[in-house]
Amino acid sequence: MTAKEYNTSVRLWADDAMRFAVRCGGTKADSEDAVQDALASLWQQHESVALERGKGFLLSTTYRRLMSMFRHQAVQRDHAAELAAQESQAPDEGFDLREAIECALSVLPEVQRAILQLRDVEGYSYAEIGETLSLNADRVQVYLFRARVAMRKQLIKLGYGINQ
Amino acid sequence: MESINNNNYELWLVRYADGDLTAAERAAVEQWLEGHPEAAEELKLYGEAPRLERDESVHYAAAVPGRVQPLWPAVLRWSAAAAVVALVAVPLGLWLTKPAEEPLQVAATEMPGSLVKEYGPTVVDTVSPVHEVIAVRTRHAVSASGSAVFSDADNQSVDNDITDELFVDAARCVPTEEPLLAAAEVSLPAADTARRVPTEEPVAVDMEEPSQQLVYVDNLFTVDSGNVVEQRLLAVNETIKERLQGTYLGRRLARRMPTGDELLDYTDNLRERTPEGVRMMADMVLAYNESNK
Repeated sequence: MTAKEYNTSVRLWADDAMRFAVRCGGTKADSEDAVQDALASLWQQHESVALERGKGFLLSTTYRRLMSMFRHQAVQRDHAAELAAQESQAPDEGFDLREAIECALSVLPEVQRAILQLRDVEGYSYAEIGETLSLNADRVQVYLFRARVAMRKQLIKLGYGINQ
Repeated sequence: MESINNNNYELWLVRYADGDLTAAERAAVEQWLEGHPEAAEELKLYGEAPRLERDESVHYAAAVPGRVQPLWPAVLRWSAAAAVVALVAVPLGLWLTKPAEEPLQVAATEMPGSLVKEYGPTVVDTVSPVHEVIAVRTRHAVSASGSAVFSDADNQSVDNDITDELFVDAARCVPTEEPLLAAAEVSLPAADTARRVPTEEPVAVDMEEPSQQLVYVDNLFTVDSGNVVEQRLLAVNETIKERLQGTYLGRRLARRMPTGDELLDYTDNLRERTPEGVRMMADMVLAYNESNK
């Protein structure tokens, strides 16, 4: 990847990496830091990374940086507690489906959120997701199954039935 | 793949939903689901789950259309520019405290020759008369009391202060070769020098209570000017912090102290990968000097 191609990568994929980081549960600041680190890493290795692999490199590195941050901050995400908190949040008139989906996503483990984002938004295959997240493709499918089921259950609890 | 069971049914159901199974396999799954209504319910929920959509409201702040730049160098520019501001502020401080009547003795800078040519004598390492400053190049950090703190930038012990580390890196940014230009003497116009006459007397350093603030200088200065320089460095420090606000490095600095290695990495990368960074640093120094006239 040339310097020009690196710039192209930034223009094309920085936003995607940012969305990915936010979906994985990162705060805005943490997500920006993770993306920045990923871009820095890409620049450091740009001579050995082909342009067509740039996006995968960015997403993968962003994910690893973000997970490292979570561990570093000793953020022990108590999903049961989060779930209880979400259950106590009754939907109101201003609580639309998009917000409900984000709310439902927030109770999922980061890896499941990452898989949903890569599958639904980025359109990655199971193998590509596995490569990005360093997971076996079979494991990716299992996590995807659990993520969708858990998200659907949560949406029902939030008042969004089958036709909503 | 092993036939469907309670341990692997999730994988089977994903493939079932994706249509990746043969007719025989689908029949086997459907038969198994008849005896496992909980799993059948999960399959139903799986199919009903909404697909995520791209959130167009989320953007990476630095990727502004039309202003796309390699972001790593952008980080480097800030730290390196701050470092060079600090590097130049030291001799500048000495120069500003010099009486206007005396001709200035200007020593060579360590900037690349092309920059010196372009920017002329404005960006130079200024040295006061010998009784104030010993114009001997050294790589010793000194405290305001004038005592050497460490002699090797790689074997340092600095306070828990951002400026110290930036200053240390400023020193590391400087090539170790001999000065590119020979010393020269110039006289500034009277009006110009008059503007630089200090309005207050330098405060002598209390030798009994030396400051803990570390100052890194290329020119070893004497005690009586040390305190003034230190005050100016502290002012530069505030400028650096202010300019870093909202940037990636600024946020990191706000959360924790960067290690010396990290800052060294920034500056090393700047030197190795972004030769234009040197020019930017010079621009920043000029702008800083201009704003302080």
